[in-house]
Amino acid sequence: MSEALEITGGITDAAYQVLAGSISDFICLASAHGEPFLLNPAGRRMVGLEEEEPLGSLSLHDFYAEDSWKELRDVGVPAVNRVGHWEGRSQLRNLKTGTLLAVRTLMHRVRLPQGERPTVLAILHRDDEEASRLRAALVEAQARKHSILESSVDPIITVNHQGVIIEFNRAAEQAFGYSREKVLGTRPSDVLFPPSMSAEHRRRIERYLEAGEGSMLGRRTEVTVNRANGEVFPAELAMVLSQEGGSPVMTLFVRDISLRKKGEEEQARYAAELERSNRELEQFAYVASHDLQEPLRKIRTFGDRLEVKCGGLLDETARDCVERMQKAAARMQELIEGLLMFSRITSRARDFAVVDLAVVTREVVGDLEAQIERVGGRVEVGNLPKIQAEPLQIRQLLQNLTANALKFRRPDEPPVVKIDGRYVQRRAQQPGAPPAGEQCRITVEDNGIGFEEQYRERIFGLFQRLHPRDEYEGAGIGLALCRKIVECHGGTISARSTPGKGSVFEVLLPVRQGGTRRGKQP
Amino acid sequence: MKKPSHTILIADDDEDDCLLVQEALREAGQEQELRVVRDGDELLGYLRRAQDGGQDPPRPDLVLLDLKMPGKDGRQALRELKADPRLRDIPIVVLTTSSARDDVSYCYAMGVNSYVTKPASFRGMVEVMRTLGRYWFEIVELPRRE
Repeated sequence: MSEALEITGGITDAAYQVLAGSISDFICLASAHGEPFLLNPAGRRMVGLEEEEPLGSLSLHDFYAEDSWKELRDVGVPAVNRVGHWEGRSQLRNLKTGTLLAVRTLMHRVRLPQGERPTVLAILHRDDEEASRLRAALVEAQARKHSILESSVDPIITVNHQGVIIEFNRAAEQAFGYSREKVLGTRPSDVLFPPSMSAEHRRRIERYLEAGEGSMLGRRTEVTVNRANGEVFPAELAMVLSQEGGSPVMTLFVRDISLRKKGEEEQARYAAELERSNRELEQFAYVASHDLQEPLRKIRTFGDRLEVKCGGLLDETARDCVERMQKAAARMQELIEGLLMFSRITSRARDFAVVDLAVVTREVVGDLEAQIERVGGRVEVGNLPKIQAEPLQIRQLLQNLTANALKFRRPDEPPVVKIDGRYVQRRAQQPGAPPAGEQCRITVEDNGIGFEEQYRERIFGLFQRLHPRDEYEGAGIGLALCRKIVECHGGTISARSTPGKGSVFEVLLPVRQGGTRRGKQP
Repeated sequence: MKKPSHTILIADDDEDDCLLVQEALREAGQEQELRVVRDGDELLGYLRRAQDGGQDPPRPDLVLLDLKMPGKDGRQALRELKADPRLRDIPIVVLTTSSARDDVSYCYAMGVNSYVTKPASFRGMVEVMRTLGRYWFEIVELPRRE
């Protein structure tokens, strides 16, 4: 810096405003006697002066702590007079609050080309605390970065713009089996990645660093990585680009996903196995029912023919035997038909459509009209909503529940069945419960004979019956079918009852089905 | 007993069922000429021979077709003969144990004339034969032989 500043050209007010206003340092021009006549906005902030506050009554003395002022007066100004400038440290005093601010000080003697003050003092102060705060913050940030790096469970590797490893955290040492010293300065593709992908990987990293972008930027990719002992493991790789010391660096986050991979593979295998076993079971039930029906039908037909053609030749005992055989065969057929129906309901027949439950229920009640009239009963249908479902299965469900409610009536009481439904919000509860989301609750309530609490699960089992056949007919398949239908829709069915008073069957079904072919929404 | 006026061709590999159909027809008073084939290939062979001329074998007035047969089954045979312009005017009634939705819709789509599920009782079978006989041989105009 020259001995003294000499301003030869004119300096306009506007230029001064721009220059002095945009600087964060304290800049002041003062007379040789210590009277300030110009102070920039940053300077005004440091000493607590308003933007337009006049400086007329103030002296430089007012801006400094006492010791600082004395040093400026006794050491600084004489030095400026002698050699043209002085550098030191000072403490600025805020005029409003009295708080002190440590600053670095630079003082110059300035010769103005004209005017009544040919020689003035130019004083510049720089906020020292801010610089030290920044330095401290930087140190803290670096320490934080270091501790994050070192405590990370996942390996973190930083590569500089030359593609060379400059950071290799502890997790990386553990995962890859290399010490930091051995890896720093090498290329990731040389040590960490199998030779098969090295070339491509290297190209990608280089392209990435050069262009500042790449196909992998901001995405997670699955890669295979090498351990020092030659093992390989699957990993998820994320990359992020940043600047360090003015050069781009790339940080690689590596996550060992071998456990997750293994879990996923196992899960997929279980799912496939379950699917296959279910399919086999359904196929078995279907084929068995079909093939069992053939000989059975013949037993019944020829038995019938025996009765029709030879009935007159048989005595009463023989006719009774034939009749019993025929009844047993009829029942067997009923069971087989039930099994067949049961096996036909599969969750794979995902032919979902929007089903208006009100319409279906009215149709079901229409179909049961004869039965309702015969027993003098009544079916009340509420405001049922629409849901996405397999139409035929839903019809069967409502048909079975309604028919059941009519069937298990009390002998002394005409049956009254109430069918209702509405949307409900349901939170996910215990495992096995339907997932959270909008559900439709359908209830079928009757005033029939009901059942004991202990049977509330058993009634949904296949071929389960609570009553002798001569009291209530049936193969014990209706509610089992209901449960299968409901489960194929991802729902639940349950029942509660007061014996002798009536039962309520409650069905919860998702309003929408995932992965539908027709894709319509109710 | 009047002389048989019509020919019924039964396509069914099951001897019991053939016997039952025959007995049921007799019980129903349908004394028609009966011919039996055991699978789809035999059925098509029979119909083509009958079509090509001569009195033997006679062209059937009605075919009772079982779906489940060994080799070429009823579904395949039905598709082929309904696709054959010379044979597709022969009335075909499917008489089978299957009441599966798929089978029913497939057969009608192929152009079958009726679809009947085999009744589980002899009385039921007699009733079916009586009705079929009355419908096809008394009510309906059948295609004329040339």
